[in-house]
Amino acid sequence: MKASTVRRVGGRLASLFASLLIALSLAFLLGRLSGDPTATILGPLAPPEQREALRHQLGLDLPVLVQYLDYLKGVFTGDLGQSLQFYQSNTSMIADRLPFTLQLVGAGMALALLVGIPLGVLAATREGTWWDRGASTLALLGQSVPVFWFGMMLVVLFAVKLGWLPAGQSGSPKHLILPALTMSVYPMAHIARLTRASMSDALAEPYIDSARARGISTRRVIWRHAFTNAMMPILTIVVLQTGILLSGAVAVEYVYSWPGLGQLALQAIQFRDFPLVQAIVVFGALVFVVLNLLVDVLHSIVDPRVR
Amino acid sequence: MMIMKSLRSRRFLALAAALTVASAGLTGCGGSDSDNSGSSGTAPIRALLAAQPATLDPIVGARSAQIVWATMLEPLINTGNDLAPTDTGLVTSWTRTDATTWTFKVRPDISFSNGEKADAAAVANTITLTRDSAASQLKSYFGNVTAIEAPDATTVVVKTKTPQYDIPDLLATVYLVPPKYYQEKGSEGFAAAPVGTGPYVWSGANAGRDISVKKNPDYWGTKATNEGVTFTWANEAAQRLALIQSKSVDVSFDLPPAQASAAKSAGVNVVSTETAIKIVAFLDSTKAPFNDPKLREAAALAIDRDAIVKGIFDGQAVADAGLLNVKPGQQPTQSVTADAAKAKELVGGANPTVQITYPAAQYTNIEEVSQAVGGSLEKAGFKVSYVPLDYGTLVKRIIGRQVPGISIFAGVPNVAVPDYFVSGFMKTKSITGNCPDPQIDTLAQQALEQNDAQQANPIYEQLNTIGVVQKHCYVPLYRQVFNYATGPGVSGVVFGPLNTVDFTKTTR
Repeated sequence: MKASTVRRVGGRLASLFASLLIALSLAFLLGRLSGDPTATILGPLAPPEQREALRHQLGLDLPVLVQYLDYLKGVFTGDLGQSLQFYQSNTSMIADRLPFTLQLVGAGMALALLVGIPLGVLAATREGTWWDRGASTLALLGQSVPVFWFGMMLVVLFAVKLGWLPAGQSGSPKHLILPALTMSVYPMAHIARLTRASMSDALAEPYIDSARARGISTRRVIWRHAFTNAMMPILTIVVLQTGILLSGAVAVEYVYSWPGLGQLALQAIQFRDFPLVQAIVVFGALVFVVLNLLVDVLHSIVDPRVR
Repeated sequence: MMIMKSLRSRRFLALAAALTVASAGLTGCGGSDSDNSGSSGTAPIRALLAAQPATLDPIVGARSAQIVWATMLEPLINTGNDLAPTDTGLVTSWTRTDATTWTFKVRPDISFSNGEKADAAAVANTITLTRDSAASQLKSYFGNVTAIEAPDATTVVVKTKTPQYDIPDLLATVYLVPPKYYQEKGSEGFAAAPVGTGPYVWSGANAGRDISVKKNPDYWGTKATNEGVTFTWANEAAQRLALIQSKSVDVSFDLPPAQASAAKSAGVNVVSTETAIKIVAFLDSTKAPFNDPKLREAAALAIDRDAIVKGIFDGQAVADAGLLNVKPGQQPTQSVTADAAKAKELVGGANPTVQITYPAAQYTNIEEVSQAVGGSLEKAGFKVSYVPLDYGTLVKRIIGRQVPGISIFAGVPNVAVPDYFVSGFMKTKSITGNCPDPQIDTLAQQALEQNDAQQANPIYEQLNTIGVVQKHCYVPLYRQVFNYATGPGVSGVVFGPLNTVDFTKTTR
């Protein structure tokens, strides 16, 4: 491997580590600003000596710097502490909830890709037509509609009025349909708009004219030649959107009582369970760092120029 | 290479399609289908809560989870409809041997569902854990208890430092745990699979999704008429309404006023029950402006609790005139009636400044209630500022005596004894400490030294009159109403004012 490549990779890893450290520090500080957890755990009538005993048991009476170093040590050894309300290991609780969020994000992103990419390609290949305007309007709507409202409307229509689908919770593939649809709307619109723009640029390139002149079928020109070259920004946005969905599934999980990380985060915030909130923030930060790394790797695979 | 190819062709879309199918398939794995809206009599009752229950360990757990653990565990002493102790539970009788000694008789031949004996030693162990565990929710209730002994299999002796008539009442909120199992498993292990003597036994849980209990075939009392209960939860109130409307659950708890009205309009059966949760405005008599008794009286006369209940809650709360009337439906003999004109006259032209501190988003409509209190005070001539705080910070400031003016928050009693509010809010060394008065301290001690609740009641009436009517340190506002909805054909859900639910007679 060339020295310049090693330097570049090292620099990138260092910058990702610095981002992670900043996120961890912010999570720690925010946890300390959220009021006294002993009030929530013991209620307002607990005597001060009991409150102090619990503060000691939780390590809250230690100097903040010591608490911070303990916290960092825990994070880097995989120990994200214990929940104040559930009295369980935060790591195991996150592990329990993660599959549900992954299901939701996986299904939502897959739906977004399945609809967003063809929609974008359709708009780009029929630029200026009603197809283009229709697809662009749909994409704009998808990005403008509040997820929370859209989810509630789907529940009212499909669960309460028509009774076709469950109103929420999990348990069967049917339970996934409405949450996944709600989850997919924003990334679908984003992907459609980006695909349209990226494909329009690709279709205007001379190699496309050359391919057409060689008598290659339109379908092949679009998918094999134009789409392959337009994929780079789409891939980037798909990976980054996946990260956003993973940490931003709160609204959808809240609307549908989906038992994922978002729901857990909300309950932790409501109870001022700051070790759990911190653990979820740390996990989110780790996911982002890993996904950013993945974007870099994908770029180098898809486009040899960035290697 | 496969990945490369997938990325470089339409297989990208095929991959997305496969991902969708896989996600849908995965949701079907490892759990029950909670959308089973069938009406089979043997299927468990599906109960929907407002939040995932915190730990199911009754020693350290928040009382909000009691609705779940109380299906498996039982209180040491049962209570009747009037919340007074009865002899129908695990403890069948009690006598006060002397002023500071209580002797309890435990029902013989009762076992926990794991086979451990639920005898006097188990009862003594549970009371000791409640008194001594650092994170015990009820530790402060048992601070006066000096000794707990089990001289034989059916006798428990509890000794207190000073006389305390309400020990049996307090035991009504202590839930019996099996000593060996609890010690072996610890708090976390016990919460993962609780064991008790109740009408249901632990069946299982899907992390983050549901908790199930099934009928205890060996229950010592009247056995449940259903096969079990499955608890799920939804934080969002509109979801709780949608789930009951779509028949995905049999009973949906904790519907706020707006959702309760919507449910009623949609033809859903909604039950509203007055709870013991009291919302009170506390006036700090140790600091300006309310170190002036005239201004405290003005504030008490300015605040119109009836208007708050009517205007903000539309009947979904009950105006409450007293501080120590702990039982739902009970009102004090003396109270303060709003009189805006007199309040204005008392304030005069001084235009004093009042700060109103309240826990933002902690209780239903608390923001509107605080604004209404502030509006009434402004009409009387006060200059008002608002300090919304998160609950934890508010409690910390109250304990630190850093809340001048008015603070509004709830008293959520775990047990229906007036001393809960006297010790918490009225004594000089109470949590709020907003009304220090040696007479209150003396009367509080006198009340506890009485033989029973009947003898103590006149003293509590006197204390209420001093705090609310004479000194105006407390302006009681209202009691919360708890709404829950039941699905078609569902009956027999019995909700108690102290957050207990009896599912044993529930059918669908």
